[in-house]
Amino acid sequence: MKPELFWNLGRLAVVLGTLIVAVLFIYTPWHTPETPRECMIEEIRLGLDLCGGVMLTLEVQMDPEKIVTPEERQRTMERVLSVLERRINALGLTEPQIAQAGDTRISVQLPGTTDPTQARQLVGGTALLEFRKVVRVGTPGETPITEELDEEVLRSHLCDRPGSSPAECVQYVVKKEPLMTGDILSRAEVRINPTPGQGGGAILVALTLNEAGARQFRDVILTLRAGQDPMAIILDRVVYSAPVIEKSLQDEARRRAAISEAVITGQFTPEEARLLAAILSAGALPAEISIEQESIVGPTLGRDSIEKGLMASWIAGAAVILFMIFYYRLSGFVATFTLLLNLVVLLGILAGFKATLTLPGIAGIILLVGMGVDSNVLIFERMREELRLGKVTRSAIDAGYQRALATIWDSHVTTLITSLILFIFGTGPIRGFATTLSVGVIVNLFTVLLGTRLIFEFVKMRKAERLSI
Amino acid sequence: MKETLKTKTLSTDGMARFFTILPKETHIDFLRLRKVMATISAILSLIGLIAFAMIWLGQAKLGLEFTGGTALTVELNPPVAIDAARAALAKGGFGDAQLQDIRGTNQLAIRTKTVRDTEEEAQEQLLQLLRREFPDRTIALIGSDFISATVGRELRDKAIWAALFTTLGLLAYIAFRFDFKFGVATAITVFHDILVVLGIVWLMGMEITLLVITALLTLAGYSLTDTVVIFDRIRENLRKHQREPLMKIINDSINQVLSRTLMTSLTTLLAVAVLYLFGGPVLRDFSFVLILGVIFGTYSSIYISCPLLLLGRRRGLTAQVKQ
Repeated sequence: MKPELFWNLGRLAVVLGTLIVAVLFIYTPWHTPETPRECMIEEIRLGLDLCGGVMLTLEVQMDPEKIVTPEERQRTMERVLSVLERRINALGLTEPQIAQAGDTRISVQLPGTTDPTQARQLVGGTALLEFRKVVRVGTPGETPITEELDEEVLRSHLCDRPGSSPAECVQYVVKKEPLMTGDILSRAEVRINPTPGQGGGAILVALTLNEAGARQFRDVILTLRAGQDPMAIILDRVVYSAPVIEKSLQDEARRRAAISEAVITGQFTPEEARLLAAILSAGALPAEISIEQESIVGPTLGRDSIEKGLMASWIAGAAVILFMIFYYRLSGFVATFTLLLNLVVLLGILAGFKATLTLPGIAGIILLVGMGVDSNVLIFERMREELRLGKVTRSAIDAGYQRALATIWDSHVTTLITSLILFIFGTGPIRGFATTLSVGVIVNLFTVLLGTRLIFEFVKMRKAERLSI
Repeated sequence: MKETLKTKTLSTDGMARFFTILPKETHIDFLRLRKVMATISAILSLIGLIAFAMIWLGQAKLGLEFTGGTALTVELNPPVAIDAARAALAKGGFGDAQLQDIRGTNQLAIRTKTVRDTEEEAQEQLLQLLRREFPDRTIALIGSDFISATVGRELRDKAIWAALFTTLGLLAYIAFRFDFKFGVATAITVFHDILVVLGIVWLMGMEITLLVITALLTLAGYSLTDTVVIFDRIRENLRKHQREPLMKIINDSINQVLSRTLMTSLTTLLAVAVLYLFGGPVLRDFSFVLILGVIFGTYSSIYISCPLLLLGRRRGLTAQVKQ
């Protein structure tokens, strides 16, 4: 075998191999059906700006007096992360992502949801559960005042419900000192009140108390006057319910050493109850959290972006291909082949590395369509020049390739410098742009050096008299 | 430029026919216009410098991601006149809100730099306000963004660092790749391109967003490539024709690679123009900056970088390319 043929078969094998691997990454035939498909096009993961969802950046507010050393800070971060994870997982969303992003930052991505209130409540409260004695229950719409130093006024959770009128809002005067706090809790779950009659079928949040908590709860029940004193169940300074202790419960407390169950009857909607149970079960956060950045993309906006992005990609691809074929004739097909190879390998790498495709990422691909063929233009123009000088096809191809190479390297290295820096400093969608651009530039170098070269090598081997360029 | 089809008979290789948009050999005296172009570019660069200073001083229209604030897009059915919406928002204490109709839809983009007591409030309040003021309309949240002042500052710092490192990275590459005089000319050309585009963006009152900055940095890399194509040819010709006047060598070089310069620009321009026309509102400013970048990158590679080589003594150039 001639060495030339040997090398060309090698090139062909590499190009075909890469192509097959890339296609398999994009259309994985063995993919597991349980992975949610909404946020994917084949095996390519889409960013929240394309598939819709809520993205949050949270700042953990650490008390500089209590949390001093870096180890303590990191421990706090880990606890915050695990509490948030438990809360979010309890809601059963598809593929939520929670990750530490920087020293005191956490990024949360909730694909599929567009209700910001749920997400905010999920991360908003520290989930400090308290049981406090109620001094006075205000009439609906009234804002009670208290002058006692050990009392304060808190609102019912119904006051902040969307669509509720201020006239329905009930406020409570409660003691500042809690009777019990959330460390007594072992579990919280949603239940339907089984008793027929009034309150039957209502949605409840049932609390299961731990051993110490159950004993404490018994003692607290005995200090209250049955049928008279309401006890407020408060989460993050909002009153969820303020039941009056019934005589039967007090009798039971007298007979037994511990009461291990309590229910919150707060006129809940199913979503509210589910959220409350999730927050209570996950436990309290060790630090306050603030929302620093929030981005909500509704499903229409996401779909619109995908449609526009894909359409622009097709049109840009078609326009560039037609232009190349119109101008460079058969060689234009070489450029087209390179371009398609480029795209398939790029998408394959995105799928294989589970990179996220964002709208700016699609823009990056379109930009690459335009810049990618430039390498071919440089080669073709040089070949034309060599042909004009009277060189034979073979040497025109070689010279065209060799002389254009330096410039091709230049253009790729400079684009790579920019895109890598954008990748390092970029966040969110911008990083998607940097990803497609930097991966695309490397892939383009590969396809030009191997793909385009390969075709011209075969043209050379056919000993073509003429080059359609 | 007239379309011509040139045929040339070659002794060894039969016929070589090329389809071109340019005549086979052009002899355009590009350098003749160098003073006019230098003046135009100086003015445009100056505007760019002013824009840069204004952005630095916070006087320019900066994007939400740099200032902090709330933006939301809502769909009102049936639509509401923008003035009515503005009046309604002003009544609710959002007098500073900027409103914008989104072409071809019933959507309304609202943005406010007011950050209320708690982060979620501005967005929630705006929505409730609209629902209260227009009870007979269905109002749907299309999307929203909230950025705190802290994150805004951080993103601004990050953008500055990214710009700085891109500059340093490209300068390092230029220094590695070129001899001194070519390197300086390339660097000036790249800065020129960024300044000119920034100036135009600022004059047009376009908002400086993260995407716009991204586009500016991307075009820095692109502009460099365009210049490299011509400079490589000038170096080649300086080596080949040592006796010829520098002016002629440069002009010839530009003419020789003209089709290359135009073709690479055209393909890229084609792609970014499609992005501008069909890519949707999110990418419109981004692709506009890239369009400007391609146009000025091409212009400057001919009219800025080459005349810069004429400054100083020729020996500096030839000595550099000889080795």
